[in-house]
Amino acid sequence: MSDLPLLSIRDLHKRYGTTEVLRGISLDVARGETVAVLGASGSGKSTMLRCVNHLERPDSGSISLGGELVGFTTTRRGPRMLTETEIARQRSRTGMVFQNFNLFPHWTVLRNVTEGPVRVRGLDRSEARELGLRLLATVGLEERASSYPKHLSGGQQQRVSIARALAMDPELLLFDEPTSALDPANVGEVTSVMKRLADGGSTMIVVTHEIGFARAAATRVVVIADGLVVEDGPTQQVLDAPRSPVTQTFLENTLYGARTTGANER
Amino acid sequence: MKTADADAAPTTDQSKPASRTDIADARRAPQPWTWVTALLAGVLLAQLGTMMVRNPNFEWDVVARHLFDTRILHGLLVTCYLTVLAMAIGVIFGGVLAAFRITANPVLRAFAAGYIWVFRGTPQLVQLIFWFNIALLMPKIGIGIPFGPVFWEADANAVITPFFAAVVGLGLHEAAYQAEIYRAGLLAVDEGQTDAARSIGMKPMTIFVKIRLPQAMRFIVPPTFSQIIGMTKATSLVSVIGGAELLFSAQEIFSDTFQTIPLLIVACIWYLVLTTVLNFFQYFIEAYYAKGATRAVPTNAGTWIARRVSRLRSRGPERTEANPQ
Repeated sequence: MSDLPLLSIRDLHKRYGTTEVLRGISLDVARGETVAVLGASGSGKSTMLRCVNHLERPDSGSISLGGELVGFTTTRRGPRMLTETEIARQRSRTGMVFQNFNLFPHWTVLRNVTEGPVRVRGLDRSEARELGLRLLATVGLEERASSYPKHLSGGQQQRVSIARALAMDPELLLFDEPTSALDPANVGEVTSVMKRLADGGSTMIVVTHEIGFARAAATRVVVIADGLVVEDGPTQQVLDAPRSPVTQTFLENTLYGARTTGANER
Repeated sequence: MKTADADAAPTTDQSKPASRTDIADARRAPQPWTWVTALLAGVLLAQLGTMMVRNPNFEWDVVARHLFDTRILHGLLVTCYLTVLAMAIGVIFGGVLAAFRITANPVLRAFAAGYIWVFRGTPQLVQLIFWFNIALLMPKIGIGIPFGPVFWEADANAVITPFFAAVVGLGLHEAAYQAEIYRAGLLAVDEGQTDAARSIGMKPMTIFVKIRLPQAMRFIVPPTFSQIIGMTKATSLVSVIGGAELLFSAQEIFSDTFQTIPLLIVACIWYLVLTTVLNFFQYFIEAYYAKGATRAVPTNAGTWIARRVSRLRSRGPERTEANPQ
């Protein structure tokens, strides 16, 4: 059982109109792995991530999480789409952190974190409050519990949204370019929280442009280009000795950009 | 830099040469056209004023005598009832229609679209007359099982009073508009909110009630208030089917006395009073929902009063920093 990958993506296809965004992606993620997904803008990496928790419905192929098909179920008459309510139950097994944070602006920081546990996991208010404060403490924001999101910096908002995702006690954490909307000065506080999660054994897929973060925290790096996986291997091997020419060009461009802007990760 | 004088004569000496470049004391840019238009407006206003006073056809004494006439006040009350009831139907049923429009259920979606198409696409006045004359179409109105037994039945002419027809007619028409207002408000909420709510496993109903609707209220409340003001005036259409509202009451009086203009003025004064009161409330409601937005609330008589009232209140003893809540 434990030999089975937690997440298994098989031959995933997705098109918007005439544009083929995913052209047959296959990827396995084992428990405890931190997979950094790199690739140019428009390569399909975010779409792939959004298929994992079924925010997007793929056209063909399959995704299974812990042996359970995501968004579909198999019946004697073949696969059938799940209802939104059934999908909601599946989504509670994963947590997602968005590029634009997407915190709920009409709720306090604490309520942003506790509402999922209360409404979806069925915790009572006081349990959820305790959990929320503990998670806010782990991202270093417990003193902002009663603030509203708009009074927080981008980095703080993103840390709250990590706490919100963690509050669902997810088996898999999905990060969709978590630092792309941040001031360079705020990137470090978010990546260091993510690094701690990775070191703590969380299973994570991180779509990112931060090569530095990938080097420091990822166990594996996957490179996607034009809707296909072009490279997949241990972090050091992919970053230091890439086999695919696409990866080589991508790394050269990105590293050059990183050096000129001075945004370097330790 | 450091002279002996610097300590003795500090601020005044230094600020004087600075005032040539410090914009804090700057005069306003000249605005000659403001003065020209003010002059023109003054002349026109004076002319209008003299006309209103000198022209005996205004019959201001008749206006004064009928302003608090019991028939007028009764009509005013009916206008208020009609507005409240028709708006209640509009707001509630409109919400249901908007929910229908965004569900996954194609039957409900088609029903809402068809409803809005018909009720928004035909004139309010025609709908009112139609409801008033529904007895011509269905002489008997009953409650029962479709194609089955009937539990209760009544003569349509007895049930459909002008008041009933007015509430139903105005309310159902309003629901179509409200549904569109809700829909626009829901569309204005960032899609990322739905993504985030889904990502933590919230069900569609929870997302609608807890995430989308509360955030859409900012966009829903101001136009709804405009609709209430519109509805206050639209109730005057009910006079056509003989509902005894404000305009009908005025008409009843002037059809006896032929004092048409003064009684229309009486009606207008009361309509203005009602809409001004509504504007007054709108100011507070918009200010509440505009929290965090920099958009200014527009000025009119009602909001002008409201702004002064809120300033008076904030001058009270418990003056505190605006609550960020």
